Amino acid sequence: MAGKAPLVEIRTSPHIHDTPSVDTIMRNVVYALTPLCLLAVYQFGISALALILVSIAACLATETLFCKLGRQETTVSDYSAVITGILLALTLPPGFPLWMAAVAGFVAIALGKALFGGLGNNVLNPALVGRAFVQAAFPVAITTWTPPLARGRFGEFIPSTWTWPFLEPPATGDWSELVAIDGFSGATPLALQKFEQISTEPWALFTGMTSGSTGETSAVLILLCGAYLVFRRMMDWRIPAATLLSALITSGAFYLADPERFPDPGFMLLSGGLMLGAVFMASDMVASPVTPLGIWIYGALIGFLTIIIRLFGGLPEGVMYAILLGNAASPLIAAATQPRIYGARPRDDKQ
Amino acid sequence: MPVTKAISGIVVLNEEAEAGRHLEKPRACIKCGHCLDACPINLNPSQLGLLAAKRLYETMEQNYHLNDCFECGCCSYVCPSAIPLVQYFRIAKAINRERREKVDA
Repeated sequence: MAGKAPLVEIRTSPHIHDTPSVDTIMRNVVYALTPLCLLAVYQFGISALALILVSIAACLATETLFCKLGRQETTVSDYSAVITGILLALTLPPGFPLWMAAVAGFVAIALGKALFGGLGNNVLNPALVGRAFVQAAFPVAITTWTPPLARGRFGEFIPSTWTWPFLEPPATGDWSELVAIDGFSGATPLALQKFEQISTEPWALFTGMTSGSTGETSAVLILLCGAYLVFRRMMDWRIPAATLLSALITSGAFYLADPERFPDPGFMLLSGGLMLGAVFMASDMVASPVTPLGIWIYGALIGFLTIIIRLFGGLPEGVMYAILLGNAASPLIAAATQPRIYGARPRDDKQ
Repeated sequence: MPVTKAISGIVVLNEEAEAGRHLEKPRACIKCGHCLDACPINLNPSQLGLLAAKRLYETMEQNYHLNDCFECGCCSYVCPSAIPLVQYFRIAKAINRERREKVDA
């Protein structure tokens, strides 16, 4: 045949495609996390800003490194490493030494994600893997809290921020007393409640003017940012709903059994990292089950474990371990809760 | 091309759709679960897609109801990772059919 044969490309349906891609979803999660970062910088000053930037940089560098080592196309542009970096920074104390944050970022991406095969294949939430590592490696630094709204926070770093690698961070107790506005102490509401039986005003917890991890303090802002993602249909609302509901019921049951000993459920919901964890960490798509029933079980498990660890564990906070355990259980949950197909009767399921 | 009574519709793609996502390289499944919400039969396309990538076609049929899929394509339409799910399922069904014919023959 003379000339060029016409080029016909044959494909099978569907020929059109819904628009949001993985990049779009991830980029919107970054947008949703930005207000939390801004509030953190407002509350804790330039130390929080440095912490967030270092954490993101460490995550991106590690992602690049592992893509190079694996001779793969770089996946930095899909924003998932940025999300890991931001989430990691938001769970760390504001005065956390920067070199430790870099270590946490490296571990988060390397052990949490890259070794499993990158985005989509990680079993656990990478940011929490990084945090769990530094919690075990640097137990003092990660429980050293500084007061919010400190004087001069935009011009001066928290003393522990610029610790040299492998040196002990300076104690921040004296510094905290010096800069704190009256009535604000460095201890987090959960630690105060657990170890000194001092409860914090619900309004302060709701708006977030308390001490705590960099981005976990303001319940209302976290809920608003989460609502944006749900509205854009980029987050599954069922996971935070199940987690918070289960935490409410579990802590409510303990409170009703003995109001003297156990804190009220409202305090449990608003304090610590539960809000941030339920909205932005438990809802991590990759590490949560996909089946409709499985999602509810997964969320409920996380809420329940959080309250149990908080009330009976040695640490004041348990969200991180609860979510990691939930992540670990999620393949099992998904396998046990395969959806029933249209028209099938219950007994047909087990053929 | 003749239009017969069996033709239910004609899709005309604009340039954007033509240059669009189906030409994009599929990414890893991020388990967002959009395909499960979209599937009218309540299948688990996410799991089926992972099995198809591993060529476990028989498992797909036996444990995950592959043959109940009526190939509407909703899963491919919503997939943010641009995974050609329904296309995988068509291939899987065809291969299973061939295997069965071989056994019967």
